[in-house]
Amino acid sequence: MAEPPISKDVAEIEQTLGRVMLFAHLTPRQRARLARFATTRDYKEGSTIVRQGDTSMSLYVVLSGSVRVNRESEGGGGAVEVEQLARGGAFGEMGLIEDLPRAATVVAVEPTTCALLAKWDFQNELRDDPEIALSLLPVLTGRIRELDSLLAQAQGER
Amino acid sequence: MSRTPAVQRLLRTWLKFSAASHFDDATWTPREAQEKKLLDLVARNKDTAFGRDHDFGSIRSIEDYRRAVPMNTYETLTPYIDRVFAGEQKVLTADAPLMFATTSGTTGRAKFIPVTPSYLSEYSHGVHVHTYRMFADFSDMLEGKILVSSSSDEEGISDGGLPFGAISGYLARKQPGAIKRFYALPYELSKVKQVESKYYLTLRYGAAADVRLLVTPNPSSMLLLADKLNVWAEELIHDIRRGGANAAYVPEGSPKALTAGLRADPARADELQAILKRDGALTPTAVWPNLRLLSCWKGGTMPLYLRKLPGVYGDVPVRDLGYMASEGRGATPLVNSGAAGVLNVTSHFFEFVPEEERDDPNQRFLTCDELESNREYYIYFTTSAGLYRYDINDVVRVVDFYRNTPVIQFVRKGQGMTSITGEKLTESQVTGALLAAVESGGYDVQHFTAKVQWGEPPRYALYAELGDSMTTERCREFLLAFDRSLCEQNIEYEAKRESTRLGAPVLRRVAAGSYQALRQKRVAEGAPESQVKIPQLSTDMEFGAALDVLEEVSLDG
Repeated sequence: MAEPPISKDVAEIEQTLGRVMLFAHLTPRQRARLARFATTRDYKEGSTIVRQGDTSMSLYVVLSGSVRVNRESEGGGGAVEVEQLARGGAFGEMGLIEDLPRAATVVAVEPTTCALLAKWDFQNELRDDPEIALSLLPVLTGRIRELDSLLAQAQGER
Repeated sequence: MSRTPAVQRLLRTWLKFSAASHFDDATWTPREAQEKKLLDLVARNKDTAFGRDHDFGSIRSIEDYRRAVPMNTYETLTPYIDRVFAGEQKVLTADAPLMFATTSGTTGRAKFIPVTPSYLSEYSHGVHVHTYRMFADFSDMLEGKILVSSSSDEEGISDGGLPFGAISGYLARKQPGAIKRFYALPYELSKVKQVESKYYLTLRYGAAADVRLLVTPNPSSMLLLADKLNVWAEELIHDIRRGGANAAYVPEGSPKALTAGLRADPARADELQAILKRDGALTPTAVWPNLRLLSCWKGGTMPLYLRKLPGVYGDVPVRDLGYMASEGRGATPLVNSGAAGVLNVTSHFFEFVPEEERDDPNQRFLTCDELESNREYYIYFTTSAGLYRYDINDVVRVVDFYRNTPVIQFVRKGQGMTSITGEKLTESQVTGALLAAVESGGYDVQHFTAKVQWGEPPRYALYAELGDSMTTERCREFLLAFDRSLCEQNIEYEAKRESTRLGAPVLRRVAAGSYQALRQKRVAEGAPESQVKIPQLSTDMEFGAALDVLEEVSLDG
């Protein structure tokens, strides 16, 4: 298997990965390894980066600029803005682990550069270094707790 | 305990090093991989008639190639293909064809694509990448059987004495014995033309086996298989118990090999009988409890059928079969989500024209590294079949990137567009409106085709095969929902409807089985069964003439 060509932005990607919640518990060495597998892409203002329901192959990390995350409501009625993400914001994290379509549409609010990490490269790293998986667990369990709490809150409001 | 772990390991290792690793490495630098692919292909074919006519010997770059070779269609290549078909050598390619792949598309006369050894290698490369990834994701898949439907590779003989037919049949025939053992169906089944016989024998082999992977290009075939599994439950169990197959389903004059593998298996018959007694039906989930994956087309017009698969196959994941045609393999899906795949940068050379520039005299031809996310493009193939800058008339959309390589999804045929009053309606818009309407009211629409209906005013006529729950009133509701959804999909359609330049659509309910009969008719006319696609937007003015219309429902009065 060929080694990936080193991106000129690798140092910046490595630094930005540190701000991504999913990778918050990784060691600098682990982040540096992941950064080597990332590629970068530029997006014009208003361009759609990923679309809800589409095939999900990569995690995106915003390196510069900002994006708007929209989600189609289930009963129709159009898209609802969920959040805006700036530098260090990430989308498609769950796609690294689960094989599910994109959960939202993401549009560049201004000229934006993203780092992309392919699902397969991430999973290969997990196989090579299972410590990475252990580092992800606190983040994932934290999300489950958050969802539990939101669910309890929603049930209480009924 | 797996039955043949050594063979499985060997197969996976071979797939990895013969195809998957090469493809994977190329996705880092797709432009370089594509240029290498092109220059190799041009150098190999410089001494052919086409190569000399277009000065292949002087081509040193992608830019040189574009200057030397114009964009081609099947029609512009026909003078060369006709010579190959007649048996002349070194016309389009240096290596001689082994057969011709026929492509029926959705309409029009058959096209003949020369399948050379180099083209077969390019085509198989994509197959191997796809297969390797499926085996990597479902490691016990090879402990059971793979059920793949394929069509005959010998529909006829060319003037030069070569067979023509489906490339899937050729690949099935040429598989080494060690590989064939993993497949549930014999090659000879690909030659059965009668649809009922083909489905019965497919299920006769399939129901006796531990099927782990089910591959049929069209998801409607999966639904039909599930339906027939139940309809023929008693007959299948009877045949599995005693061996062989009901003679009514074995075409006269068939080779012995067609039924040679149908051994008696009383134990399996008992299992199936117990399922039938317990559940009152044979269902895929009960008959094939180890089914790991379904593989079929998921893009284009397929979502109408895809949405019904979970009701029949439970939570078995569905992976796209890949964007492919007789003319080449465009993309290989590496995950189950969505309907897209990674551009096959190591199979063929590809160019793209932005969809909106199709008719622009200054249209830009782009390489894969120049594509943008979520944009639609017409795709052009250059392959070792002798298709140079070939316009396949397909529109694809970039949905993601794998490393530096675009992940593309088939959207629609370029010709799948109608425009009575300037509305420029595409098949994907019709499919989108259809799905939205179906989901809005849970309408049971099994097959569907819209076509232009000339009149004062002109309108769209919707031919549909519907479930029993669709009363006339439900049909009217569906028609209204479809019309509204189409207005949302296409603002020009909405404007023309509001101005009454376009009338309200009418729904023509056709008899049950009409679409299967249409498929059978196309197969009888020579179209490979697995390639037959009945469009959801037909540009054929004769469409519907042979259908048995039971009822017409309109929104007027």
